[in-house]
Amino acid sequence: MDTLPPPLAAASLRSAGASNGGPRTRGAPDKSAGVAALGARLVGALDSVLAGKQATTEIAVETLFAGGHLLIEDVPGVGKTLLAQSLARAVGGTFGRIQGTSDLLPGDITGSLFPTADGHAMAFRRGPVFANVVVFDELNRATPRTQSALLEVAEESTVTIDGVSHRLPAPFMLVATQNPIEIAGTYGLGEGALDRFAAVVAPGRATAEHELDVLTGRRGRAMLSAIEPVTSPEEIERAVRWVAGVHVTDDVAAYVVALLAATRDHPRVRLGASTRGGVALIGLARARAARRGRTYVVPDDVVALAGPVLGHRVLVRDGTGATTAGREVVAECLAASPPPAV
Amino acid sequence: MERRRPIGFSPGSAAFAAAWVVGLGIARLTGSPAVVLLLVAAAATFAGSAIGAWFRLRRVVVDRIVAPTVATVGEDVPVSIILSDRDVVAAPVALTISTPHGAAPLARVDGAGAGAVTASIAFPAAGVVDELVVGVESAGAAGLLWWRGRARIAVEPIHVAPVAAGGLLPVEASARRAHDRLDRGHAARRGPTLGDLDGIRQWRDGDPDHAVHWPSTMRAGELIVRDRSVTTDRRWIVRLDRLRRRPSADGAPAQPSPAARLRQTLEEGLRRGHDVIVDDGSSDAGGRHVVRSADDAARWSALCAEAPPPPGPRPALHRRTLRLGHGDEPQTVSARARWLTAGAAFAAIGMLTGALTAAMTSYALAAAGIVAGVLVSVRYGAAGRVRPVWLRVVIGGAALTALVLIAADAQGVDGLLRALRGPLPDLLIALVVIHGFEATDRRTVRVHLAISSVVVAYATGLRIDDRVAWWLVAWGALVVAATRATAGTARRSADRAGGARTRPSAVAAGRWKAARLTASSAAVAAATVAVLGLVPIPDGPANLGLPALADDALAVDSPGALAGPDGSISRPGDRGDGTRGALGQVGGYPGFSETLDTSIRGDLGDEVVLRVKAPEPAFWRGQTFSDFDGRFWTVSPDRGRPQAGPTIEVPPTLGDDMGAPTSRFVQTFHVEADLPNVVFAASRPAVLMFEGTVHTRPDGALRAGSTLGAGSVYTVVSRRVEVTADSLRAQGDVGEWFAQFDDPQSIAALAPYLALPASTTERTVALAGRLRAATTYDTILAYEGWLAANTVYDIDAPVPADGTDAVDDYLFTARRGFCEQIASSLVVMLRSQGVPARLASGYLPGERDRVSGVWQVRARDAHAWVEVWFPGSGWQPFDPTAEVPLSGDVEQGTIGGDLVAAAISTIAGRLAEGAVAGAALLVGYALLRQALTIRRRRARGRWGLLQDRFTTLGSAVGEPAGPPLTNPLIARRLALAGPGRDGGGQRGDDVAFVATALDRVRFDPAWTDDDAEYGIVRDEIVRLERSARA
Repeated sequence: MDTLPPPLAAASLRSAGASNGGPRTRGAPDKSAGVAALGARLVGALDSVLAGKQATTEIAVETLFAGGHLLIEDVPGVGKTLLAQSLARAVGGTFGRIQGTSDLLPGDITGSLFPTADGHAMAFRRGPVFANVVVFDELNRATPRTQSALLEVAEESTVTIDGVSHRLPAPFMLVATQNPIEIAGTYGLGEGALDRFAAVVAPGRATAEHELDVLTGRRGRAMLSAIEPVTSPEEIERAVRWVAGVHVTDDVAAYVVALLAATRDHPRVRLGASTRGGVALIGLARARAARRGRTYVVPDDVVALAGPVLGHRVLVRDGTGATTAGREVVAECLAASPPPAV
Repeated sequence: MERRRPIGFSPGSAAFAAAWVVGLGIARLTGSPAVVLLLVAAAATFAGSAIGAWFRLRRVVVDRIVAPTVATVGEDVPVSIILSDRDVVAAPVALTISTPHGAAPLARVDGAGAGAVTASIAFPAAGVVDELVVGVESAGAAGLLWWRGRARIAVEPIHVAPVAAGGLLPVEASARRAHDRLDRGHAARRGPTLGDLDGIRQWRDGDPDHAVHWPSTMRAGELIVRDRSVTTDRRWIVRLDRLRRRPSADGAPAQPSPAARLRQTLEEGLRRGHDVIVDDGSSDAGGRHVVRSADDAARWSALCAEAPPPPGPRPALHRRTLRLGHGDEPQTVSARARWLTAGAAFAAIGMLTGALTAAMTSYALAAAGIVAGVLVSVRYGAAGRVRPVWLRVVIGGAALTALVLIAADAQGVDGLLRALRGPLPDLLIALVVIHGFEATDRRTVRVHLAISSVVVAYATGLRIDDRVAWWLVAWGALVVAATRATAGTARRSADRAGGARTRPSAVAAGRWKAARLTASSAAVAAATVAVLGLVPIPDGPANLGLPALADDALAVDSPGALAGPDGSISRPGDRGDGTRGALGQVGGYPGFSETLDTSIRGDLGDEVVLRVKAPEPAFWRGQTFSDFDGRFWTVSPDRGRPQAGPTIEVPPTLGDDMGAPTSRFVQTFHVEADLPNVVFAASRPAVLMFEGTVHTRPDGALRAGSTLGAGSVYTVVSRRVEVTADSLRAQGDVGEWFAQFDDPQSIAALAPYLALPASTTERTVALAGRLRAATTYDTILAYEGWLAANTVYDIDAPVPADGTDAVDDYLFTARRGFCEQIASSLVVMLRSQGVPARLASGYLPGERDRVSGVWQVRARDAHAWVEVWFPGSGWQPFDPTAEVPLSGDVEQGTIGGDLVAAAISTIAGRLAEGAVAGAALLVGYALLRQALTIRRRRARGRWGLLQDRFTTLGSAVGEPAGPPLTNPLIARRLALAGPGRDGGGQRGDDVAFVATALDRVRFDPAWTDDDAEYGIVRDEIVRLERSARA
């Protein structure tokens, strides 16, 4: 939406665009356009499965570009797992899937040492975490121990077993889902665990029209198998590197700092957003800018992403555990701090 | 706001009240209308500022309060008060928070206008609070009278729990559920012990629930952690109904309340890892509630806390009285306020020294002292700054020196007036200067302003010049500005931080501010004039204008003789040489000599010769003449007897004391130019306050023992008969009355006033007889009417030939003349009809300065007029040329009426000048605004201005509490907004292009300014604005 409008650009703006090139004319535009196109392809692929979840899929793609991990939090049956699976398929590359249960052990995820066939040596057998996209369903059903192991792995991108480090493939993205309503037999994620997710999205229920699509099989799980990989891990890797170079002016960074400070000063907040939250916010804002064909971050990126990125990092005094209260607080903080402009 | 009422005065406000009372005393002493004006204006301004605070509170609305839902007694919790402040002129506001029952506020914070204000409060008592009282306090822009408005704001219930304390409550402990949730049985069997022997260590400090089992870890090559957290083997049930039934432990305050013990119990249970359950005593299964967390425990404790005591009747005193020194506002004073205060003090001292015509050096010294005071108080005014010893020594030494000098100066002062004009003002000036060093906080700055206002009142009472009004306006503006600056806080941070986003509203606020300031000033001015319209002009000075002779007064050698301004003595019968010698100088009016030649008119200038402080106009009489020989008037030779001042009882003269009721009329004469030794006074002087000897002459004139040099001051209390046209008419024809009068002695005494000169012609007498009416008053009116109709007032009238009768020549030949000839004619005509009359010379009342209430008498106001004797009321002045109302006809004016008249006459007199000045002011204002706009545009840049316009467009489609308006958001909203827009993709793309272009200006490092792009964006914004208007 923020990309250069073709009608104007085509007619009267040709000269303006040409004179304003900068890095854009020196080879940057094809790349930034490449990232934008890649993003559009991914969003399009996801959209063909998930009905009417464009905002969610956009954030998912941006998290992928920012090299972060995504937590999908919502009631059952809104397509959490489907989103994760379709993202994995669309990205191509390898795909791992773990179902969270209370008897799941860290070794089940990371892999463990097994005796070799001759019985005299131990060999490392890789767990499902060795994949480009790992979908962890019902994360809060796994024990805290397993959760911690997983998240540490996700943070470090390395599994160390018996003194040997095994690097995870790149790109690596963890997409976890959890259901905040059902609490029986679950282990709620702690603040530290939540903080490791770059963004938390809640897709929400589909509209009647989209539900119709799902019920008739035009979209939804039926179409999952029809998704063809629209990219390759290498391309994603390049996009991630490109995104990391998107320009952030000091004004925008200062705005993020002000937002973080506002969450910490908010009376309903017990613990404000961490610095890691700020880093993640800038990262996702970069990804959003790149996905929209820009080489610079604007305050709108920050405003649009502050809720998903900071909401789960804010510990509300009387919150019930879901991230909704945090999002409300972040929205209030946003309304209270004016963004920079010319 | 539920209720707004005044609660107290700011520190230092009492000084203003004290100054006002002192001003009242000064007004009584001096009788100066200007002081009354000052007092009323001050009162009106204060009333206006008090009402301003009331209005200020009206604009502040407390929207809601965000508070945590759990709190502990005595522990600080943050509370956010969300305000909306619709006032663009944001005078500082303070907020207090209290519980509905508590009288004392829990916290007081400065509200920085709209938005969220966070306060830290600690609840004093346990319980559930579902309502908080927010008091909004403001003292308006002037910051003198504090008002408070209260609002009760419902909040999400805040459970205020007591601090956990005391022993545990009895619990029903049960071991019903020995549920082992450990993943490995052997770890559970090892129980809670941790140690090397078991191979289990705490995972990390303070985390007893997780332990690493090292043997397993070693075996498996991975971290094996034992989770022992959920070994719930007991549950505790706390019965609340028992808790409630427990008697409150015999009232001992040290005893922890049951609620505190409940919290202690619940928390202890949670700490021990039990299932903690609260039983509220209701029979069904819903009566049992699981306590999950410490917050839950606190909530239950708060619910069980005893209800807060019912609000007792608050002491009436506390509720009703206004507190002095109210406000915990910061006492710091900005440097700006301090300089404005110094400006006011400077103006006050300037006024005072101007009144005293003091030397420039003292003025410069005072100015230097004031500046030094500001510098020192600004430098060391901040809290914690201590003045170095040397500075204290210097200040103290200077103050001491000044006081010693003043004391030394006061050594030779004997009279009260000298004290009032010498050491006392010096002392006041020194006081202001010295206090300037101490004016470091708001209280002292206000006291400083109050002291300067006393100085101003004093100077206003003393001053008799016509610049008082301008001084007062200048000083008043400075005081108002200083008071506002003193009460103000630093600029709102939101204004600064907002930058681009708040720019348009800042401009609007400036406009509003100016408009409101103008409106409130106009209202205060109108109220002042309205009140002054009810205040009569004071009856005149009481005591302050005490007599003084100028130092250069020349003693008159011959007692009782008349001496000119230069001390030359004029002798009776000295008719001069008929030329205009000795004239042309100030005070050289021929009427101030023993002999008056009706053929000579002096060259009289415009200089102010006298300033007379008096409530009403009157003839300031100097001489009376009785003998006329057809050309020369001569005073009677009896010089009367000398009387020494300072208070001289003037005996009634012939024909004065007729027994009619009289009224007191006080005049203070300030001699501004060297005058002869003629003491001027309104008719029938009774008491004269004069320094020196005065001859009280039987003809009613007063002659001093020395000439009246410039700077002399004396006061006259006259006793006037209040005559009106009716009362004069009622006395009938004096001629006829006189014919029937048979007291030979009186007739003999009045005979000189009936004598006609030998040269009087028949036609003069015939004319007088022909015009004679039924009463003498009407006769006089008829004569005056005839003179007005048939003769011309001409200051350059030809001198009649020697030997001709001046009256005849004027009436029938030349028909041109000036006041001496006209008055002489009237006297002769009246005498011919048997009416006693004489000629008086002196000054016309002059021109009144409406603010200081002083008559300014100029040299050209020298005049001669007629005094006619009436049997009932004595000598009555009449004047055919000048219009001076009869004493009884003068309505007592009011200060307000006087002011309005002055304003009208000033405006009418200077319409053209006013129009030019107004136009110049408008042009200046427009230029200034233009300059400011250009500066703002420069600072903003052309893209910044476009951003402002785009933001303004966006704010029309924004939501009050919605997400912040970024440019893409504005673009989306604009593209979607309402019908009438062409809508659709093209339009949305164009708006989005504008948003992108604006964002690129600041955030794209590769951006370069480009005219073509600027033009496109501007055109698009213009188009958007046009469609927004449509």
